[in-house]
Amino acid sequence: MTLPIGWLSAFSLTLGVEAAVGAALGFRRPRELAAIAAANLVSHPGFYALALRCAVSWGTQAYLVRLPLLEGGVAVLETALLKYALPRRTWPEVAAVSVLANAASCVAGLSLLY
Amino acid sequence: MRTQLKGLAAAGCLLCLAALVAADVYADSPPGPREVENWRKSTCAPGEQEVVCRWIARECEPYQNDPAYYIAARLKYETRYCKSVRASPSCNLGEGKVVMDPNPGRHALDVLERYRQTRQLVFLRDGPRDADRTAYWIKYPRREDGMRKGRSYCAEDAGVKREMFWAAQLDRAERACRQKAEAAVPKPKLEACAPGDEPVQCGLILDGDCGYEENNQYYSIDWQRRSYCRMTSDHFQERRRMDAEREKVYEGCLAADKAKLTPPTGPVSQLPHRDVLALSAGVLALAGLGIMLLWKLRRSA
Repeated sequence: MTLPIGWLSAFSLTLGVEAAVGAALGFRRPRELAAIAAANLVSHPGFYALALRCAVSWGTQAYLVRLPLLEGGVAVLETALLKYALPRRTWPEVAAVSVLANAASCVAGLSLLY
Repeated sequence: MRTQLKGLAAAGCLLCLAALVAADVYADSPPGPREVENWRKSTCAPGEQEVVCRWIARECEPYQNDPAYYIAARLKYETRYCKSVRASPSCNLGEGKVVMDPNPGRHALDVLERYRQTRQLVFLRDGPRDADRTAYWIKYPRREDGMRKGRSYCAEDAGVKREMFWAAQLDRAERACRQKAEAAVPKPKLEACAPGDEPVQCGLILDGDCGYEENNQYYSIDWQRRSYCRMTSDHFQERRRMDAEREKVYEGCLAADKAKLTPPTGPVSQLPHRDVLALSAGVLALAGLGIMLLWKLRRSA
């Protein structure tokens, strides 16, 4: 099962980085960390499938355009999901966590790959 | 009512996500000519076992994990593996100067591009260009190979070596054809301006007057001293005619040589429906699970 294992390892990395960034930004309570995990569970499989789909074109213009677009979409989606799960948190707070965590996980993922 | 609407909106978003994945994976543009060309020429060596597998399929796993198999080509969702019949000689990890080929030809660049596309960076070791003997170094960035980041591996990967061998063959063919074209239509070696041509001395590099070589009407007789000649119209036409003739000889020769070198073509297929459906269903299921968790978290808030 190459694909699920690949996804699982990528998901673990993303989750680890995002949880660390979330904790650094004050999202330390278990339910807040759980919300980050759940939001990732929603966004990550789709992101992974779409990103993997264009992995063969790595380094090409299409990929360089596509990856930031995908990451941006994921950040917006996660912001909305986090706000939904954590209504007491403000939009700027959840947006900051989402954007920074996604950026960090993207950098971590790419640095591991390349 | 409001809760129901939110639920509907969430379900809609999930369906959109699954549809996006399915559409993106399935309704894909056909592979480009370069991909197909790479795919076609990457047949296994005689006696080697060839396996074509899809990245989504379980049957790929043995080939990815078995070092006896090497990746011969990757085309969109498919990877072609060949089982190496030769035992890999020992690889001197960490040894040797790893540098980029200082003067990569066009085909070497093609190869580099291909490996960049398949998420493998290839570095040529500074040394002899004989692709069949030179040890190449490869840095595997893929974690599933069980290798760590940042280490360079001796590329006793038959796929790489064979690809490099192919590139070297093309390089040789290209050089031979270039020589043939030069011999058929020799370039004039001018040390001074031909009668009628106007000598031009170019000034400083950035003075804007030095783009002569970009303009075919000028030719350099001493590029270090930035001495150029501006051709008369007749000379210019003659030079262009000779250039075209030379290019024609070169292209014809290269096409003939490439046709001789190109291995037989292989089939190109696309991802089947059931795999797309399985992928979309997986994405949908995981996203649904995530939504449920988020809903529970909100309810407990």
